[in-house]
Amino acid sequence: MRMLWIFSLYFAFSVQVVSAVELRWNPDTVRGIHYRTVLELPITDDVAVLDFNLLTNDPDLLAHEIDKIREMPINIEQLHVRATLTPNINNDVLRVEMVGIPMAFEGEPKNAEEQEFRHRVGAFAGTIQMHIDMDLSGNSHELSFYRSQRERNATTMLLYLPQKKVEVGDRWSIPVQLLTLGSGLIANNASQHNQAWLKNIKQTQLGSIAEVEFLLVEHAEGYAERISGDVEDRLPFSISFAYVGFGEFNIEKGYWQRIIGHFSALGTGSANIRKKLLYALVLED
Amino acid sequence: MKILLLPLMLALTACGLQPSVQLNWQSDVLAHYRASTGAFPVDMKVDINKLLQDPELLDSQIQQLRSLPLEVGKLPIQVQITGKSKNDIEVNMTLASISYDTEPKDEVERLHREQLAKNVGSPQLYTRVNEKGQNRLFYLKPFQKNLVSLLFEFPDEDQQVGDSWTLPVTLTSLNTAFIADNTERINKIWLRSIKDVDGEGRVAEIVYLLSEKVKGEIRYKVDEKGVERFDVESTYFAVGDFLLDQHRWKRYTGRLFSDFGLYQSVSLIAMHPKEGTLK
Repeated sequence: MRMLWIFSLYFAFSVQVVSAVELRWNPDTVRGIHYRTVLELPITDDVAVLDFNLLTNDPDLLAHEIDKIREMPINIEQLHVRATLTPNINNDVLRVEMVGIPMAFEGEPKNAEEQEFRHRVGAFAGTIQMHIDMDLSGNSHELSFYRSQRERNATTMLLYLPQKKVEVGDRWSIPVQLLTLGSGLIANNASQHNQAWLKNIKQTQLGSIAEVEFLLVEHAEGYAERISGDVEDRLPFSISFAYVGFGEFNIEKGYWQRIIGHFSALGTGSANIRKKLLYALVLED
Repeated sequence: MKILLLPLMLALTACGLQPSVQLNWQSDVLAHYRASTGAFPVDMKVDINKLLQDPELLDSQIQQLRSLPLEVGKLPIQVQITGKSKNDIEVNMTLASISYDTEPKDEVERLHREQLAKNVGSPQLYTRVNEKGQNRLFYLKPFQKNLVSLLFEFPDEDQQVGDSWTLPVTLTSLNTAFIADNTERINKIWLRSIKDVDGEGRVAEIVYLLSEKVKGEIRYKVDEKGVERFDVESTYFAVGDFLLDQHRWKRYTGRLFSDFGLYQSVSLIAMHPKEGTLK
């Protein structure tokens, strides 16, 4: 009987040890690697076709959206920012620096939007796009407390890792806030869904790769209060933001191989907005 | 064994002499305050590091804050706090109507008064908090979240006199061009005393000491030459008297100071009960 107990305990313990993994930046391996990245790059997919509510309730729709993002061809040469991560002397802080690099475009721009984009990319060459310090879990809230929320959001979405060991199926949240409403906008209804999860661990030539997926949805609807306080004067609004994406983390090496995410914004009424932005971080070498 | 137990019992007795208290708002609270969240000439020099090291200086500056010549009826914001249910307390701040005893000093003041009058009733901040005063609406702007934390938030755990805690407040917000090479941060909120006051019950004195310093260089490009240095500092110093048995502030007065080198700003963050609404 005692033998059986010992065996069961050993088995349970070993299962736990084998299946739980730590996703952590490794200061020794990130030294010298480079990423190509973009934050908030406009893309032309139609946002209106996305049902933000269904995304959180329909796993098949979500899986389909993530598959679409996974299959979307990304030309690394079109990612016009280079990110480097430099460990400090104690190997417990990583300085993340993103710098615009010069780009070569083929042919004439197709439309005014593309012309504007090319102009912007040209102006960004050599400029510092992000400069932030984070710990080895990708958390910059303490070390770069002085950074604006927008900048911390952008880096956190790409660099953040779960704070505890995780097993396949485990979920965690990403400390970001996508939606902010000014004091004149009163929400009757608001919701927030913020989850990342470990979908799978696969063995590849590069090592064990943790496949992580993300779904962040924030929604609010209500009205813009008028100074007169007149109820009939109130303009209705509705606004939804969603970030859907996936990432591949190299467990042994301790860095992301790549993360691709789509950020969609759809607003009506006094918060009229309709756009889709690409977030990407792809290992360069 | 008896000898071992004795010091333990003595220690427990000693702990019992200083009871822990709960700092919380109550769901049936209904309170009306006048508040300030903006620019106001609070003429003080505050060094949070020195205040932490020098109890006499702290005492004198707390007195200075307490004796600021504030006319509650002239604070520009009206606050209504309404308990809806357990863990759901509504906070509604709107611009109040102000009556003035004197004529405006100059054209700038006249225009400012006119602007305020036009906007009476306009929403300044609407949120819901739980009984610990923690914000429940995720979509507030960072400075609004700061305000809610500074004016309402208490720690989850019970506290004794002398205990301190931190608040999720950030006073500084810099964009990428400000490359920091040195940062310092103090974030200490401290239960300094509890006194029994006739007719008010137990009153907890809570002191807020926050400081953020960031130094570095302003750099837009990696290969930029002759970059400028920057040195920014923000401090927040406040004292509040919380009525432990009535679950609301008796009064709260704070001074927010930001120094961006060429530009300084001072704000009064205060919440005082509207006359006749608090016995």
